[in-house]
Amino acid sequence: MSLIETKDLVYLYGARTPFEVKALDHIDLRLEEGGIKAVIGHTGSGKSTLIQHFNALLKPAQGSVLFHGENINANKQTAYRTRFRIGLCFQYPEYQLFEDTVFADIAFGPKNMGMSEQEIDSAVRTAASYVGVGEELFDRSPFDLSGGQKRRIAIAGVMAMNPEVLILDEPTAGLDPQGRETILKMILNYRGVTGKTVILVSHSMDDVARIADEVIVVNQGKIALQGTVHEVFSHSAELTQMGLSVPEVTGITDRLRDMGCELPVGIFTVGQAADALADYLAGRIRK
Amino acid sequence: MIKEITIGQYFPGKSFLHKLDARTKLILVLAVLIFIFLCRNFYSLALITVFSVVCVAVSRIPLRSMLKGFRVLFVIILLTSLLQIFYNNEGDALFEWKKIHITTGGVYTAIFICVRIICLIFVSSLLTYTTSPTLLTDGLERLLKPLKVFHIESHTLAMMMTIALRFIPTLIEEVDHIMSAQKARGADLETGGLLKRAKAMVPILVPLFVNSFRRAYDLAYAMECRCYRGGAGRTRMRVMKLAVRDYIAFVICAALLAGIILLNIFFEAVI
Repeated sequence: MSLIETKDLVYLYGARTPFEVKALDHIDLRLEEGGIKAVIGHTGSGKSTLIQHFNALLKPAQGSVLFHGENINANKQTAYRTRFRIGLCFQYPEYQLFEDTVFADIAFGPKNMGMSEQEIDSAVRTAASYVGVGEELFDRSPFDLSGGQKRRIAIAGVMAMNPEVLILDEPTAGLDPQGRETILKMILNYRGVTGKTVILVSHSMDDVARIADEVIVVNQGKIALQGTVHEVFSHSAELTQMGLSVPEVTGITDRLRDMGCELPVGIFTVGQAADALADYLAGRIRK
Repeated sequence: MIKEITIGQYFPGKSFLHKLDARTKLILVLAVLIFIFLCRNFYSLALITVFSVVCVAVSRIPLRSMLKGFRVLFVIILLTSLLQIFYNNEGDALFEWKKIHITTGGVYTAIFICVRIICLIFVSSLLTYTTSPTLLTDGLERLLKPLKVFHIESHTLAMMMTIALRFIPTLIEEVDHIMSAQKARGADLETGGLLKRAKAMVPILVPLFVNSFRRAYDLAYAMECRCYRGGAGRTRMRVMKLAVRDYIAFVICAALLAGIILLNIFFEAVI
């Protein structure tokens, strides 16, 4: 049984108006438990719409979404409970903070779940430790903090519900390189410590190549490709056609290969490229 | 739900009404609204109804989208007219049962008021349907210029209106976004009593206000960076000029007023 499965999922924007758009077009998708899964796609491809179906925020026009084989939209109760089991953190989550203190904001989700004071306290502390927010910030107002800190607190607010699956929509959008690095490391750390499934929506092929175990490509409301990083990024021509690209370093090594360097295919990260180039140069010297 | 309200929306087009100067439309719509209240009998009411219908036809606004926006208002119109039937007891009795008397006078007033409100809505909504918000505020700015005597800057008012209109869709989108985000954290917005529901709005209203202030500051800085300093000495890209069609419109409305007054004099008043 798959962790999350969609069957013939259809979603329409502006249904029954002249502006009707098929945002999701008969999607059949299976996601297995574990690992970091990246959903990539061009703006307007339907990737955000898709992930909002995973925790029943959007109801399908047709088809169903199964979590552990059970229909999450069976009734209001299952839909509501699914939101705690599949935690979704939206784009620019720092604009959703509202409480007086950092602690209270992270505690909003756990409180809605009906946890006891003690449970809330430990959930908040654990979540804060995942995102690297120290306890000295707990009594501060979230509005006084920096953009990067706010975002990490907002992500902690979702992690604190202790969901089985964590979905992050563009967690690195609008951050500087250092902020991005912090967030990516934080995701890897979270996955390592909890061993839970993480679904990541991203525009950055470099980020995806670095941390994802599985890649799902959405194009025009359909699943275009699904597979490992290696499998997906070897379809570079198709990706370009969909308005996507391969990681920057893959583009560089591809061009070097065209120019006559004998580099292996399937280089997706800077580290891999450095190793391959070192091998290649060593080979040349030996010759 | 919010997206279905079409009143106040602008439908781009090239009709006679679209081409009229915004100032002409502002003045004439105000005038016609007054004319509607001047009607004393069914003959003058019929004249202004025909006028309204012709205006709608000339504007080429799809009738269906107009009616869709009015759906909610029709309930109110119906209720108002129904009440009139029971309140007005003049004329011949049509139906009597215990304390309820329905008379011809009551039925007439009900119909009269119903038609009057529909005309009011159609005419006034035509203004926003056929004039883009920018032109509308430009026109208002120009018309309100005499208020300078009272130290009211019409330019500032118009700019505030433009900005407010510009940000309505943005705010609607933002509310949607914040609601989804809080729902994802288990916020329950739909159940519970009045107090609980009001409390549930806090997680939505606080970010909305905070973001609005942030956006207002950003916008103010952006405007200042482009040397905005109010209306003084500012020239316009579109200079508003009255054309022949504007004078024609004024003449038509003057004729309408004359017609209403004549019909009011020649026939007996109903209301």
